[in-house]
Amino acid sequence: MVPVHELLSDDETDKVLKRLKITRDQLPKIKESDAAIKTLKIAMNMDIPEKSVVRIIRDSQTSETAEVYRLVIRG
Amino acid sequence: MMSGVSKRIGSIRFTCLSPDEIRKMSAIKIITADTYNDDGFPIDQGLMDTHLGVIEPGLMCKTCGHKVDECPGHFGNIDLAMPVIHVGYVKEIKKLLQATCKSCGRLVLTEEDVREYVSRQETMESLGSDAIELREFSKETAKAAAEKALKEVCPHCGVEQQKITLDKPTTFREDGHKLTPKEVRERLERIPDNDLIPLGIDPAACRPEWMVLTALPVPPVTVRPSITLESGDRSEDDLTHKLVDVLRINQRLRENRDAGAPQLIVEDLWELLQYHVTTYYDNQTSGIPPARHRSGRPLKTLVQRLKGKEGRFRSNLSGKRVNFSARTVVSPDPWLSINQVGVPTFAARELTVPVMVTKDNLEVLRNMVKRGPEPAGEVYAPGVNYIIRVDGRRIRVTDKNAETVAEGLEIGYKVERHLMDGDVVLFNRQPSLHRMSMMAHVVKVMPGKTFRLNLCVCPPYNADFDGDEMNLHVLQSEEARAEAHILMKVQEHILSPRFGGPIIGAIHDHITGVFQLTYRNPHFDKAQTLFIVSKMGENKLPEPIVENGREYWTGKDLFSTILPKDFNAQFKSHICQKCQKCEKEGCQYDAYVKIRDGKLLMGTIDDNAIGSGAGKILDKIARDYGADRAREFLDDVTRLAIGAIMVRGFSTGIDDEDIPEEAKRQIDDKINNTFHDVDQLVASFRDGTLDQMPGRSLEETLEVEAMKKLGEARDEAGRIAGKHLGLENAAVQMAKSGARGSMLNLSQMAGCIGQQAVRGERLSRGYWNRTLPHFQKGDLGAQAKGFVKNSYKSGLTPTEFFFHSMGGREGLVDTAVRTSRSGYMQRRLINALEDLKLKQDGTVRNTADSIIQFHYGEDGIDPTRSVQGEAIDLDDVLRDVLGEHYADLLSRADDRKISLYATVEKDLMEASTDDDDDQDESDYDGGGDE
Ligand SMILES: [Mg+2]
Ligand SMILES: [Zn+2]
Ligand SMILES: [Zn+2]
Ligand SMILES: [Zn+2]
Repeated sequence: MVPVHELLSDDETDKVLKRLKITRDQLPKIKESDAAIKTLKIAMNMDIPEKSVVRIIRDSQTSETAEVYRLVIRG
Repeated sequence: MMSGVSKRIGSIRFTCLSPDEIRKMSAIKIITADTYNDDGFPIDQGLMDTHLGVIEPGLMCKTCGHKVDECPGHFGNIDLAMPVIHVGYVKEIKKLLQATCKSCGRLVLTEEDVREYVSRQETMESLGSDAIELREFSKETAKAAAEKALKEVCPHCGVEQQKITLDKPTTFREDGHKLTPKEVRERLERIPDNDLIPLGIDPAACRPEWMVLTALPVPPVTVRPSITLESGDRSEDDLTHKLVDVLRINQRLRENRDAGAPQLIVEDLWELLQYHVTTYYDNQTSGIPPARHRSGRPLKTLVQRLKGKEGRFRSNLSGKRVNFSARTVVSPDPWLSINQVGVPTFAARELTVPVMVTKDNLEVLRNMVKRGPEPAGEVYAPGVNYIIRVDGRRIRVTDKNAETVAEGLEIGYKVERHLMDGDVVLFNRQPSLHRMSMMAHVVKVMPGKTFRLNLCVCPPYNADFDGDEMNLHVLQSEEARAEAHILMKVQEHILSPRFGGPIIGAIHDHITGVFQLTYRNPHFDKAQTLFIVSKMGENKLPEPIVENGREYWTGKDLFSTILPKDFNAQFKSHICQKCQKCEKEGCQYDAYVKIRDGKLLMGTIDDNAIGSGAGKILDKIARDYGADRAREFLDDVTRLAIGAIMVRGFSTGIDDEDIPEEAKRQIDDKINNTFHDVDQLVASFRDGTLDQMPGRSLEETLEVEAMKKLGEARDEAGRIAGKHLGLENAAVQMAKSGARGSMLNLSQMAGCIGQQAVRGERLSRGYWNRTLPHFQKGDLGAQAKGFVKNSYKSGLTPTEFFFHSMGGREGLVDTAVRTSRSGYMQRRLINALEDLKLKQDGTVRNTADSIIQFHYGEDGIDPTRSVQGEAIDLDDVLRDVLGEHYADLLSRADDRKISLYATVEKDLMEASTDDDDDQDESDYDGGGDE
């Protein structure tokens, strides 16, 4: 039910931003307090700081899966 | 007149005005509450001083030297004797007072905390937080400081803090003691610039003490003009009245204070001044009585001018009024193309199109100008209302000056000519809920007083002809016309982006018409055929079939004439009986449509083929052959259909619901038996022998069982009635072909109306323990709880009629609630989505260029260009390549698939109800086998 969330490394993040030709602030946001981020923290046993980028892979009604990125923000 | 963009706005910033700035921008200081002297001239340094601008002709502005309409008006100012709180800022003042020290004015947070908050604020900004998120964050900072202030002493000077409260609307108290505005102002002055940053205030733009007013700007007279009544008396604007009050009290306060009057009197006047300034800004401030006019009407002050539906924003800035538009009642005209709109001559002579005069059109336009604003003559010819000279002067053309103006016409002039056939206009019906609510049409000027439109465009506008009015806008620039022509024409909107199918298509009689033309392939003799074909523009008479020396044409051949020559399709008609196993080509109901090379080989054309919403042929033509061909097809269908329906004529009446006595008796028996069954259920409920359903109470079990039984009875009655209503019946033809109405409607008219329900339950409310006093208390039988045994035709008994009204009312209330609620949702949704844009890289972005969606619709497919949501129709492509052979392959693959289902999937399918399966099944047929 919960779509896959994965933390991107700095390298990967740069690659994604370069591909989309955007800066971090143009990404959609996700709050640190979001249940998905909390779960990911526990699963990875590490802190996920502000400014991190996560990749979310969702089932989609139109294409099979949809890949989206979100910027982790405080809150 | 053409005018380019002279200035570009880079950004806008809203800040507070400082008293210095108020005085700097002031043209004159206002000191007296008097406005005009006995001669009717403005008094110097009064509220109508001519330094503030002029509103009377003849007077000259003392600030800029211009006269009425040229002088923009200038601000003045009032110096307040004592400071007063600005109502608009009480929340901010409270926040600041609570978060800062009463003694040293510093933010009650340690340096470390402040650094922490500021750095967080900076990261938020760099990560693209908007103004609202930043404001929320600074609110949190202020709250943290305020909480700390109540628990601890000031970390900077060690002074203990007291609790600050706000007595609405403008009185601050510290531990119950009143703080005067002067004291508040002094405290705000003490807050250092650096401590304002974490609170979200830019000290360079706004110092907090400016939120307590020492000077009041006086708006120019042009924004508060006085009006002269017929009696010669002058009536002042509400704002002027309020400013007079402020000036009077300000004067008295200054005199009393300077004369050393008792503290109590000064304080009273000070509070009165506060009241007047508060109501000058907002006369609906809670906690104080609104200031009233002598007549008792509350004054409309600054906030009231801006707020709400009639305020400056929603009424004057968001709401636009336009020229070159017309509104009138609409009526139908099947002879118009879907792209056209009929415009009454009367409107066409008022609506004009500007045309630039060039060497090529000079003579044509000269002739037009000569005709003047009201050309005579039987045939409509466009005249001219105005011409605009090169210098921008606008000259009205009249019958008298038409000749001379025409002679003087030169290249570079603009001519505002009347609307004529072929002009592109926008046509709109409110509410404008989707983009098809406003489409471009091509004008056809015609006599009469209504706008005429083709019936196929009724669904997108949601228009009917019971008095609906529509708006028409004439485009004024070449760019706008080109854009409308390419993007907005009706034919470009045949396929709806909402469900990817045709939203513009045949309705009502057009469907009945083609149904009669094609069902069971009737024969037409030469006279009939010519009658039908004559309705269409060009000669489309197909080759006749000759049998025994007599010529005849078949309906299917006639329909084939309007199809593209290489058109192929196969699908099930609306009249399909949904047989267990579809016989396809062998369908005994003529419900399987097969078209090869533009020839209708079998099947009935109805709603599923050409209807708005479901039309398969329409869908395919629009997609494969383009908008032009689809428009041509629709126009042809319209004409063919009315031709076909007029051969025999079509009418329905109450005797279409007649059923034989025998059938009536059967229905009666069935219902009486069911009544008996329900009585038995009630009896078993009473004596406790009713089997309780799991998860339901005994009462609920009874209701469910009774509803089920009664529902079956209604269905059975409908079935019995339906047996006697065949396809030769007009009402049945409409229902079965999808033109209008349903078989349920018919069975309610001929058979039995059935159970009435409120909130999905049998009726129960009304009297104590019964619905109406005509029944025994506690009667749980069918008729006592809202079952209507009669049909609409046989007529309802008084109790049945009452029950029917109860059920009907729920429907009315539902729709009323639904429309108002969905309207509100729609507005919110559109406000959120209106400026999102699909960029070239396939992302959806907002105006800040932030990404909203990474890939449009997640698949990047435009629903109006897709086939049932897929990018391409694979079956169709394969059929094109492999020919009929492919159909064979496909059906074999289907058979294999079915045999494979005999596994887990089959179990799953059997577990789900039959109804679900029906709905999931695609309306498109997989393909026929030869
Ligand atoms: Mg209407
Ligand atoms: Zn002026
Ligand atoms: Zn202090
Ligand atoms: Zn069939």
